[in-house]
Amino acid sequence: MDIKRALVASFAMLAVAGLIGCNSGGSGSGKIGGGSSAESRLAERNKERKRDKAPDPVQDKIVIGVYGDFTGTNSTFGQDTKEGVAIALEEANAAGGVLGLPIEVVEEDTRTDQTQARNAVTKLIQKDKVLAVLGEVASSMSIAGGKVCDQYGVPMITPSSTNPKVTDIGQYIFRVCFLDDFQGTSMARYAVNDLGIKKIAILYDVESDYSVGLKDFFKAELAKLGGEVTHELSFKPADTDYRSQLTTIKNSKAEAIYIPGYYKSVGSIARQARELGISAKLLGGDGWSSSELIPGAGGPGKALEGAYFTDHFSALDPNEDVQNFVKKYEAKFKKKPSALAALAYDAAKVLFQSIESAGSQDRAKLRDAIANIKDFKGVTGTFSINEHGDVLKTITIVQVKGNEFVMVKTLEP
Amino acid sequence: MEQYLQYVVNGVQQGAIYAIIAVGYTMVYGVLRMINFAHGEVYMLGAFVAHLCVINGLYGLGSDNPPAWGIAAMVLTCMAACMAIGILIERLAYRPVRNAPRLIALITAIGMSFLLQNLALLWFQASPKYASVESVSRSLSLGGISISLGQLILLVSSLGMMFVLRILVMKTNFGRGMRAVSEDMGAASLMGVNVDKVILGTFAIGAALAGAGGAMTAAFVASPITPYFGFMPGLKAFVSAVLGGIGNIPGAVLGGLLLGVIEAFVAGNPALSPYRDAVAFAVLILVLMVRPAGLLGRATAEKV
Amino acid sequence: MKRNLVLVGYMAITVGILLGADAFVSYLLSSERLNLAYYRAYIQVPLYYVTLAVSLNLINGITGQFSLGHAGFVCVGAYLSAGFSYYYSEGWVQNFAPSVQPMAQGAFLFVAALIGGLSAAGAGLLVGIPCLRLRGDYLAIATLGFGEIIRIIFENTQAQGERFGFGGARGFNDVPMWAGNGFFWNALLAVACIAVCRNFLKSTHGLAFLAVREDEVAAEAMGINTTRYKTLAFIIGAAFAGMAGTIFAHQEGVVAPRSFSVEISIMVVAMVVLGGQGSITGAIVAGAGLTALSEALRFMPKFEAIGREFSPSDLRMVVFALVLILAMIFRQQGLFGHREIGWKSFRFRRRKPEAA
Repeated sequence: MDIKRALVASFAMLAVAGLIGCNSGGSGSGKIGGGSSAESRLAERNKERKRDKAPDPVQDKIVIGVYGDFTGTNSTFGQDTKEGVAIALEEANAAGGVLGLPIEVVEEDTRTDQTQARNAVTKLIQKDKVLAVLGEVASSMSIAGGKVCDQYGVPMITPSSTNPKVTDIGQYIFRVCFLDDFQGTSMARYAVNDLGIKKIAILYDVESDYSVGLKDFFKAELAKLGGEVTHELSFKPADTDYRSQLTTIKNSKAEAIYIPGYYKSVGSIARQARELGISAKLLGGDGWSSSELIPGAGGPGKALEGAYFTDHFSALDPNEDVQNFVKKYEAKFKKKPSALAALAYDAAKVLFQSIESAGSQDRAKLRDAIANIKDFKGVTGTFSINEHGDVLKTITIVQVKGNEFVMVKTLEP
Repeated sequence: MEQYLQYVVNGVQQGAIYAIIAVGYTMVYGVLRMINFAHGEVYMLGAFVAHLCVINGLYGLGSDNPPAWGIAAMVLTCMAACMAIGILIERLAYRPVRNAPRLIALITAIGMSFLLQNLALLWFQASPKYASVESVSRSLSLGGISISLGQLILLVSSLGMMFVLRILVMKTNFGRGMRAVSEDMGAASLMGVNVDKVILGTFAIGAALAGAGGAMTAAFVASPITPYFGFMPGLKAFVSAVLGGIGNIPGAVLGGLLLGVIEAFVAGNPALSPYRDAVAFAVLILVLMVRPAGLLGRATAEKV
Repeated sequence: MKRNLVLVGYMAITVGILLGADAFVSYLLSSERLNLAYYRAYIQVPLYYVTLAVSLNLINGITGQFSLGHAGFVCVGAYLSAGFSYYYSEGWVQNFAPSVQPMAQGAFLFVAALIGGLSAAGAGLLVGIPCLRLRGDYLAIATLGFGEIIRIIFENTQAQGERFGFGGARGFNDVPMWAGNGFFWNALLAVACIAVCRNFLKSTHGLAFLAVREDEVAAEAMGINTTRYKTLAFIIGAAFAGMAGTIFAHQEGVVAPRSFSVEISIMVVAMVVLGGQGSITGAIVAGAGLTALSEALRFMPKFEAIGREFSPSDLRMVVFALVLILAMIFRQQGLFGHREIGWKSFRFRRRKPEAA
């Protein structure tokens, strides 16, 4: 058989298949979130869809699944999440568990790979028979895993995925963190209104959906407020040298640099900026929030002194719960919790409280219980879950002073 | 103008790191015709060894102002540790597949790269680690161009190491053996060169250089160290080695420096900044179109 | 004409068998009593990798052109076909009556796969032509570069929605999920890919491909147009990768640039080499085996050592890497060498002397 015929044959074979119209086993129409307006988002979320039945949860104990990147390039963040959940688990079990049953956590790794995220969640639901799922940091992974959870009607709370699309998947998906727009716009407003800065350069992580999301909203709000983005440059998480981008920014005479990235990169960026003699203010988002931030920037009082970022909480917060959490975390993991860990802790706490108020291991009841969470006092602030499955909570602007993050302003949603 | 000079300075510093890794790639390729994919991971382990030195306060590194000899001793420790790792890898994983088809060796190297990454992850966990030496972060200003002391040390010492390597390869018996093996392994062994020893030595030297690179990046550029610290630099170093002509040591240095400078200019350009890696690869492909064996590579005649 | 009829017959039978298998598998997986839904991970994802491995085998194993950019072709196919479905055809499909919806979706998915395949083939041509001057490792790094360039371009495309764009790092969301659970389409594509590659090998063209692998200079001297065959291998391999990308996009509903990183290309090369370069059977077994292995390792037991608890999520990749290294050390020709397992290996029990 010659090449042409083989090609024609293979295409024809596909054509035959297409005409027979075999689209079996479908998981229903998968389209989520056509528009971005609140109504259309709500409509997407509440759309009727056929759900497959998942195996009933384990009865003699409460099993919770956690999925995240524990071995891949984003494992730093997966690890933080895992540790935050571990603290909540320890607390709950020490207090006698939930519904009088001990809680157990099963972890599954995604390596930030869509197919693995889906497999991991399917395994958690089908094999480990979990009651509910916590997870992913990266929004694209949460979307992949969230679709599986929604299809089986298993509640999922993502601690730290900021893309609005995540909760649009369906009624079983929730989050306990801000959305991209809130953080980006808040920082832009604070910079223009409170700091009186109008010329701002942006340095963002081109591979992170979180960073790109914050950058877009920051830019849009800044333009509205009459500010100007002098330059928009990017880096990649694997980079170690940011001097070239900073050199360009230095010559742009920007008064501030907005760096919506994770703490891993921010420290190096800050110190290289100072080494190049840039005195512009540094601004950021909750990805900065970690005890690793200051050591990365050369220690207290060095490169990041006086920088501002939007955050959920401050480890300095005198609130008893916060101090309690920080202390326990430090005792167990020998470092201060990052925002990711704190969010994971809150997500787990929300879940445990909801299981308690649902009164049984019924997933539909649990879903309603989570949706009805009101004025939950977490370490990342007091929040309620709204009809989108998102949270409304105050945002804190913190400033780096010495080794501490000092609260300078809180903004209402 | 100042701005462009600053790009060059930044680029040369980054390029020196690429070069010091690329040399290891190219030497191993020279003797074995094998792409040692795990080389970037050796660089990563070098940085972790530096981290261990710093947190344990070896050589007076615990203090705020560590002595110069302490820093040098740290880099030497990392080199020694990486040399041991390099030798171990060669003996355990690569020697058994030396006579297998070349792609088999490549996949072994890829497996080794995965293995080292994940072992590092098990041992050091995922949160970023540091090994920065603060006393060298002072920046010097030369007519508007700023360079930190650490960058300068890194640049000078890596170029110094490359120079020593050149002497080693060109003037010593071992170097002669290495060049002989890279010409023709069979003939070299017939001429009395101990091929096993030469290959082991090549791996050891390459690994030591990578270790020095990792340690210096961690200490002087103050980069956060994670188990994936070596993957991208390793890949870029591989690109540098090919750019300069793989198997050719001066070529690897040239390729590394060139790639570093190109990247610096692209990264600093607002329009091109997100495409930095793409531009680096595009330059590579263009160079290969014109010179299929790299910049300094020999175009070998086809054997019939 | 008669041969064409026979061909159509074969195709109809294949599609029929696959439909049956799909119905059967779907029944098994969705049965609540059997509770097998998880095993989807062992069927559908491995099938995707089988297509990738077999198509790369054509370039890498059979023609001997070392390509490290296969994920780039998958990326082109996934994004462009997803763009077609999202921007141009979803509206049409929704106009169909509910009863014919699945059929319309299937038909549009087929068109999308054609677009994905053709665009990837175009990319293959684009990569193939300039890279033909290069050999061995130089070719490897150049293709790796192309793969990365493609991925980075999609990573920087305009955010989706406002204008035509592919969502950048935030991922291309809301791709219509026409491929359903993906089993049927992945299986169909894998079978098509295997059939095409196998038939190539049996034809005179196959001998030409092998000749290019064994000795390019000699092949050229024998009057084989090596350039043509090398380009052809790139085009066909890329086309199948692009179609695999199409199915991937339409079964996931989200396409993120991360899904096409160098790591994926490297894994596919590992599959081809592990299977035995040039052996289609080997590519199938290694492609399915390695993917299944990484899933199966999720079930490793927990254990404690040196005062720490090691969970499967910590150790999974360590074991995976060790298996890869050990397999290479102990099976230096790959699992199957150059051999194939087909009907014949079962039919002829007599041992034939090994050809030299």
